[in-house]
Amino acid sequence: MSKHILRDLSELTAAGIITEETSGKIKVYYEQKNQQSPNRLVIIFGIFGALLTGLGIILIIAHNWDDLLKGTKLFYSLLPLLMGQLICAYTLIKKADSRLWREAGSVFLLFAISASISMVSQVYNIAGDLSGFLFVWMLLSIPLIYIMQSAMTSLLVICGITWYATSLSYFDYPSEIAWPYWLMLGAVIPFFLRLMKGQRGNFYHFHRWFLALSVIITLGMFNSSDNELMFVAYMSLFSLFVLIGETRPFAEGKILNNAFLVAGSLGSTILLLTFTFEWIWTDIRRDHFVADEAFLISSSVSLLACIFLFYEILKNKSITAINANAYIFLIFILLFMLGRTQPQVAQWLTNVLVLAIALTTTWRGAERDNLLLLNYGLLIMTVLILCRFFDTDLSFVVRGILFMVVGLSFFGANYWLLKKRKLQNV
Amino acid sequence: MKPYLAVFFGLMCISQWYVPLAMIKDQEEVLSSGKVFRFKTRPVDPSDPFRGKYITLDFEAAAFPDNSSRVWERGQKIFVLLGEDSDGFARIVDLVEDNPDPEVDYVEAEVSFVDGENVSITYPFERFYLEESRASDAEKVYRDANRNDSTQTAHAVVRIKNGKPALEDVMINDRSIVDIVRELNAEPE
Repeated sequence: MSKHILRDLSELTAAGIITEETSGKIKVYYEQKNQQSPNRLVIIFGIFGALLTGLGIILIIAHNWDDLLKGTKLFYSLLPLLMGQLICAYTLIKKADSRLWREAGSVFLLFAISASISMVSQVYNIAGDLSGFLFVWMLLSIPLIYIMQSAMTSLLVICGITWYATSLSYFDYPSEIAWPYWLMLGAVIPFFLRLMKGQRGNFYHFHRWFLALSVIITLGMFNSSDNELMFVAYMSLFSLFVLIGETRPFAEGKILNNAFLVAGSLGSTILLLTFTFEWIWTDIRRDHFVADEAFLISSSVSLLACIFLFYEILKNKSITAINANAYIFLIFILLFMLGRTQPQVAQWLTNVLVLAIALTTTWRGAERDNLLLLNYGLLIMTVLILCRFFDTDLSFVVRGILFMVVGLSFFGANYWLLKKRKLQNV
Repeated sequence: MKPYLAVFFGLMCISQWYVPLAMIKDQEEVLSSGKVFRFKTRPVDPSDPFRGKYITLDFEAAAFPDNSSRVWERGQKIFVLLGEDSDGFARIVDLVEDNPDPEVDYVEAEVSFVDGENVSITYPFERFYLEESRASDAEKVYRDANRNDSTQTAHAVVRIKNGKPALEDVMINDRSIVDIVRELNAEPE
């Protein structure tokens, strides 16, 4: 962007649009800005370089050279750890200001920690369990984030702890609730908040996505007894995400960078769409509620969402000023309770609710002149209609007409909005 | 570098060294002063897929007919009390839930599944790592030795101290599998 502006400066000055002085100021401004932010590509390649070198060293040692003595094998297993620590120490002493050194050094050390543990396990034929290994690895890596101020390490740690939680809670037998995951996630949050206060670059956006997805993936760990109440927990989580996504620092910038809002809205819609089917209500009716972890977590998340919602209503002094998606969990809880005795009514009402969401989203898109939102609303409607094709006996003619109506509405709504924009620009 | 940062950095490095070094120390202790047990391996399932750079061991002493009324659950941590049979191979004396008397020979393990009275056990030493290129040769040698009609016997040498095991070697007819495979590789085909 700055290059384009700088290229046009002389033309703009010649045309008398800006003065020589302004042109000079603009040049100085961009020069200083460039000095402050190092070349992004260099950092990206630096991180990838460290990542690949680290993985390469692990693979070479993993060959497990039989001809080497045990002591030599151990020496080479621990060498990357020493190298990584030396690189990080050098960075802190000599290159503390270099983002490239901090990021690349700590990424290398992160993998060296893993290499040292797994290679020693290999030398001694220790089978070990994956979740235990991931736990220790992540615990030893968390300090790196803060000491080296490395955003890439923080992202990798979020991935690692998510892997740990899924491994322990979903894949191990007998599975356990990965409580330490929440502590480790909490340990990453202060770093994320610091990123939020800073320049809010790409790493900040990635953090939002990684954090949102990590919590969505791992929340199911509390579902140790196949409790249907987990649906309530997830719905409340999605509404909570929407509320978080709509608060001041998160709501700024591009909508696709607002992970909490996008994940929350998409998640609640997809979950609601699932509840427009009959089978899921039959399942819930069969289920006997027990006061287990799933019950506790669904009540806690719902309570948290309630408090947040109430606070936002008080702050905005209006019920309508808040994103309608934030209310969905309350309606869903009512539907869920109704479904225990009247599953058909609850199913029917869920269909109406999804239709209402589709219409309001389309309407909001039209109102705010937002093509993305408009088409998202139409897409929800299309999916809802598609879902109903599976369990209703509509004739092909009716189905055909419905499709045509939706297709035409896609075309019509987009055309109308683009035309409106054109008229406004004239 | 600020002094407090240096302290934190130092602590971090120490903790990162502590984990692998503690593992080495524990294993070396068991290997140097642990009691040797020879676990006889049993015929392997030929459909067992090639596992990469280690061979998976399957032990004869990995099943225990428990006719007491105790209930064992899959994945449960247990202690296997060990003894020796007339050929000098390890055999299971009993399974217990609580930490046994240190005087008794035992090893920590896990219940893999329960079939009626028969309790199957997973030991924490079922993988034997070899050099990447040689693992498949080793697995072949190990399989041949474990075939039902084979005249060879295969066993794992495991040292155990205070319930902690360390897998030392895998022997086929009292020769280390590492040497056999090395010899195989040295001979021109």
